[in-house]
Amino acid sequence: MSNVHSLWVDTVTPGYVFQGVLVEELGRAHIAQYAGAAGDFNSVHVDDEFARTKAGRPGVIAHGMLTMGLVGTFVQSIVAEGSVRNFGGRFLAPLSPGDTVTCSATVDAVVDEGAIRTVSLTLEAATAAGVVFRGNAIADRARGGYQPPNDKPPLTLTV
Amino acid sequence: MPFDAPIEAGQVLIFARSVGATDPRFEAQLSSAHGTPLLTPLTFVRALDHFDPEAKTRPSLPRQEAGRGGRADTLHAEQHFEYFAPFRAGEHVVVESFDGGSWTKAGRNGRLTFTETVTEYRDREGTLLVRARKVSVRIGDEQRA
Repeated sequence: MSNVHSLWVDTVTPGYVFQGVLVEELGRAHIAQYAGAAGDFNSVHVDDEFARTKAGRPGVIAHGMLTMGLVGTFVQSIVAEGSVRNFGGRFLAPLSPGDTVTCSATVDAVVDEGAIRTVSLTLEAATAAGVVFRGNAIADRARGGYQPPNDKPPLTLTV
Repeated sequence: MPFDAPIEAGQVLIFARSVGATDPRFEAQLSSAHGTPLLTPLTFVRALDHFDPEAKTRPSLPRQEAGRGGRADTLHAEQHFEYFAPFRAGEHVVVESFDGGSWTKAGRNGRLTFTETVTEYRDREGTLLVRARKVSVRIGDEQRA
């Protein structure tokens, strides 16, 4: 995921949708990397035979928290220098090697209080097979920190 | 049991890479002075499980396999975080988990039993930094488990 900063436009309004690609063709190495970083070596994530014979899966699956972590990175890319107050959601399906995952963040509400703008987002991550994670985030950011080119916010955020 | 975890900018960077974060601030903060607030991925607290002496998903030699980290019929259904204050370089946090609520509802494959676990991450002065709430679901009737 490439860096995206300062795209948290002051002109964002409810209904605005940020969209991006979280991962293209998830690799087993990505799953292994997350297992090492999180310390979660549950066999269903690292052992194909275990996943097939003991867990009834076609092979290893990614950690749900890897999915959520990727969504969290997307949220932080949008918020940039702002701060996230809350972040949460439901796991609807696991990721498998080869999956490409996209994400959307829809602006539900914008509340200005003094110099702080608080924005609520609805989040949805999906593969070609359907939605894998659905959640919400609330973030604060100082107002006036960024002016989009040509006074227009980008319609699509690609990360 | 509560456990103590150090906050290290290097571990933050490793975790950030594992969730696709390439913000240059993760590298820049490697040289942060003790006590400097750190940028952390939103799910970074999961990495602190490395310091849980009772973690069940970590393989321990000479055993070859890590545990499943829970029952085979139990799934991680939801995860929620509240953020109150940043982690600081070189400081330690105390991690403590509590049982939350429990409820059931009917599912297509039998009864679904939901259980909550709340985990709090506090600095050594007791200030709450992050609260995590995990919801697990067990599928099927108790007799099947």
